[in-house]
Amino acid sequence: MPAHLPICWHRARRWVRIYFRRTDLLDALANLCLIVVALAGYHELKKAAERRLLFGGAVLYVFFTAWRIIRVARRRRARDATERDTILQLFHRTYAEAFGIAPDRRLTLFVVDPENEHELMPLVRYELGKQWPVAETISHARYHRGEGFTGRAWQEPSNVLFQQLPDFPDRTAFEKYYTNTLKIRPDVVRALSEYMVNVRSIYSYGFLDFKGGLLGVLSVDVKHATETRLRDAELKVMIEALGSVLEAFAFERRVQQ
Amino acid sequence: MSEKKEEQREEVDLGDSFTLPANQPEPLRFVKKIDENGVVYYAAPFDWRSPKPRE
Repeated sequence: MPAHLPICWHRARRWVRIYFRRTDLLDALANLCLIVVALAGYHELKKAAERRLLFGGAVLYVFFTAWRIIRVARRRRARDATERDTILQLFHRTYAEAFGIAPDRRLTLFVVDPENEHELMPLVRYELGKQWPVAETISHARYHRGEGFTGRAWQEPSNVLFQQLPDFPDRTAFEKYYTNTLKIRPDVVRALSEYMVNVRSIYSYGFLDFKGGLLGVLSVDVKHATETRLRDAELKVMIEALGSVLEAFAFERRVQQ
Repeated sequence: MSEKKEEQREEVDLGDSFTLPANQPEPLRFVKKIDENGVVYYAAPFDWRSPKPRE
């Protein structure tokens, strides 16, 4: 993506990519054809009043069509916000049930990036007392299939994956381990937050829908200050609850499309 | 009909230790794995739709 373009251009492009569908384009083209057909008889009209009426009608038609398409896109955006909010509520509830007020655990849900189907991006993130409903804007962690722990959960879905990490004396040692040992791309490693330097274990789980498509990847990062192992029952409850929510929203999205 | 009604009224003591098999907590069965980079990790098959781990 060209970096010299203004940020508003990138945001607009992303908004269009995420909230507009091909059917919207087909709708717009069909309506355009209708206007062309109507205006083809423009010069046949003898009275100026009839011409004005036709032209005004065509302008209003374009206006209302554009308005309708934007409203549909906004509705999709509202639905997206509802999905993020629901997942965060679920994280909040399950965190309280599973870990009480114990800090030092972070929950992140990754999904396939709508702009790049070969990468996972963070969708929402939750920590005790903090939440990020639009995690993709604060975290630049993007993983390919099989890359790192999150990418591995994409490669091996329907498996609870557990990974222990060594103590890192500083950020340099952390980046060296992630780049050289885990083979994560250097630009991705550089983009990882300071929180990850102190993470000592990671649980990952890739959710599949009934067709075998990826719904998302849950990552539970546990810092060194606490026990690195989580109880099985806690994890399972969290995974089962989140899976149901993800599939329900994915089903609704498919119906809309 | 009256015999059936009598059967329905009969009380059954299931005992204190009775639990449904589906409610028994199944532990995750982690298996040690090593990836192509030599990194050790653990994987436990688990389907989010079912409380039981897959066979």
